[in-house]
Amino acid sequence: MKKIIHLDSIEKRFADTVVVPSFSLSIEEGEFLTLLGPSGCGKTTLLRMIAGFEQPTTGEIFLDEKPLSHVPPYQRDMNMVFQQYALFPHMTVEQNILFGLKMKKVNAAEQQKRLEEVLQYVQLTELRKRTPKQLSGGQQQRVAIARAIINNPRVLLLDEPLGALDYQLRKSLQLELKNLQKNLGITFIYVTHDQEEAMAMSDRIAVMNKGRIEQIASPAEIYNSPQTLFVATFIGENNIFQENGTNAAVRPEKIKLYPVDSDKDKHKKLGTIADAVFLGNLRKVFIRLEGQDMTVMAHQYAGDGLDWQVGDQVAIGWAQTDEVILPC
Amino acid sequence: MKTLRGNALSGYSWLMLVFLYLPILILVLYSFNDSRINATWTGFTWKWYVSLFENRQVMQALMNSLTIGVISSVIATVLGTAAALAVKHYSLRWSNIFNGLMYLPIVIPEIMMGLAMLVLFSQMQMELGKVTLILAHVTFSMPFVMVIISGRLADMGKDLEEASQDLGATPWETLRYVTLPLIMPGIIAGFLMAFTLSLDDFIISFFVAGPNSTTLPLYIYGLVKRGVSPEVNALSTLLIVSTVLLVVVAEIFRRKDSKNNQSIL
Ligand SMILES: Nc1ncnc2c1ncn2[C@@H]1O[C@H](COP(=O)(O)OP(=O)(O)O)[C@@H](O)[C@H]1O
Ligand SMILES: [Mg+2]
Repeated sequence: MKKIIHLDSIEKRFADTVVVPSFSLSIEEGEFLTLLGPSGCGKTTLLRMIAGFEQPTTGEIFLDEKPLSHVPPYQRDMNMVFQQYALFPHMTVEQNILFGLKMKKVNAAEQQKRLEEVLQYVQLTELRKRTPKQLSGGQQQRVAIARAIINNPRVLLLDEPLGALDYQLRKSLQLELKNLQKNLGITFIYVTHDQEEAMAMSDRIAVMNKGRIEQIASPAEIYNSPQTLFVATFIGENNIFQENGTNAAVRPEKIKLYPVDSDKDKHKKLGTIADAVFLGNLRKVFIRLEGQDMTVMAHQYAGDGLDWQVGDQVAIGWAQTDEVILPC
Repeated sequence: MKTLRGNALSGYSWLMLVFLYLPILILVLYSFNDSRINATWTGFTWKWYVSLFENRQVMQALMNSLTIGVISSVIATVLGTAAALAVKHYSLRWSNIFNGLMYLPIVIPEIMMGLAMLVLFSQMQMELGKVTLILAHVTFSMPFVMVIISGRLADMGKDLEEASQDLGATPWETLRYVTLPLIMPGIIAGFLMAFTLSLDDFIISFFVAGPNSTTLPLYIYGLVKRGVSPEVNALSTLLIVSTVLLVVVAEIFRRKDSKNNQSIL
């Protein structure tokens, strides 16, 4: 695959604080790349540097091998979907969507043709004469997407585009966005702090922590083979066992529970059930380890026969292959 | 106990209002008094207003006030808007200092401003008249325009302008299609405010006016020196009414919700 964006050892400082420490990253044409990290870790700053609203303190950003440092935002062939949508309040849905084509002086017939297509695509045809204020959050979100994709950008930058919506709507829009990206073939750089969202949508995830990218890989690889302690604990749930200078991470679904008097060869630790939370399809069981200040979490699925009660003595074990060794 | 305190408080508020507005009320009342002597009420009349409109000097002063008001507030609005935009967009280290210096004229005693401008104009050997009045009025009203528009710009945030640039609009196109339409209520409010300030100003105008550029407040002052006549009352009443109206309209525009301003565009 072809590289579309390349970040070459870019760094961003505000005054004297380093917000994004120097790093490099290549983004491939047509991929769905997610920047995932907790609030304040520098995701928006990174996206704004790509869009051109912030200049990297050092380093260079390339689009199709061309350096961007002297290209203003309005000449970069990419579009951004803003966190709060940033729809123009004094324009109708239609005028908002057409704004980009107007600025690029596309002829009127072409404008109308693309407008109809996009309105159809995001199902806003009926609402075209409304102003943003007269729309619900989900509809505003569609306008923001439509306003960006009508320009056929090389890259679409999305800053927590679903962050302001409620859970159900978010779930369904995640799939829609993913399909949209596949159908249009536009490269997506998607920012979120929601790891489930990142897992559901991305081709690759870049996990960020304090401005640093800790790991870039496919969702499955991020989940199964985290490379740092931060990635292991930020993505999904994990149990971290500290043993002679290393950390071993074992996912709760890989932890097996045994009665203390059977399968003795599989026992790794002993403990007591401290709590059990019923979640419908599974139960989260918390085990207080003996002689160690640590609680282990294990998933117990319906039908595996053993019904643990709080206070029960239990032994835990896991397969060596399910253990991920992390540097401290 | 509670209601007693409430009553006392509302009584006090009423007293404050009376204290503030009684002089104006009396002035307005006596502008309709049939008698030429202010102290006694003899009946209702419009005749002082009629005689105002027949008085050529009054009409000349009114014309002067309107010309100076319109020209100076147009200039102040343009400059004030430009200054507010500049301060927002070039958030350089010294933009705070610039901001402070822009606002300073609001708190400097007017008499100092007037004096300073008189000194400046005579240093530059400028003849006192309409031009000096316009320059002076621009100087003191521009900061007010800037305050109003800066507030509007701050409400707007930077997202919309960035979205515009992101969609391919150059900075000029962004100004024209996004920023200006969105701050238009603020610009109108600023203009009305500048116009009101210009119409009302006495102290600074007193220093920089010439013989042929008497404005309404200066004319009223001239009349008062010869005693308070019912015409003065009538003229002042008109000035007060137009000022209040202008300020109310300006305030309506200033408060217009920045997210719902279709109606005036
Ligand atoms: N213009 C700025 N000036 C100073 N600090 C900033 C600026 N923009 C962002 N920051 C700081 O950079 C850090 C990262 O912010 P941001 O990129 O918005 O994080 P995220 O989007 O991951 O929540 C934060 O600590 C924030 O306070
Ligand atoms: Mg952010």
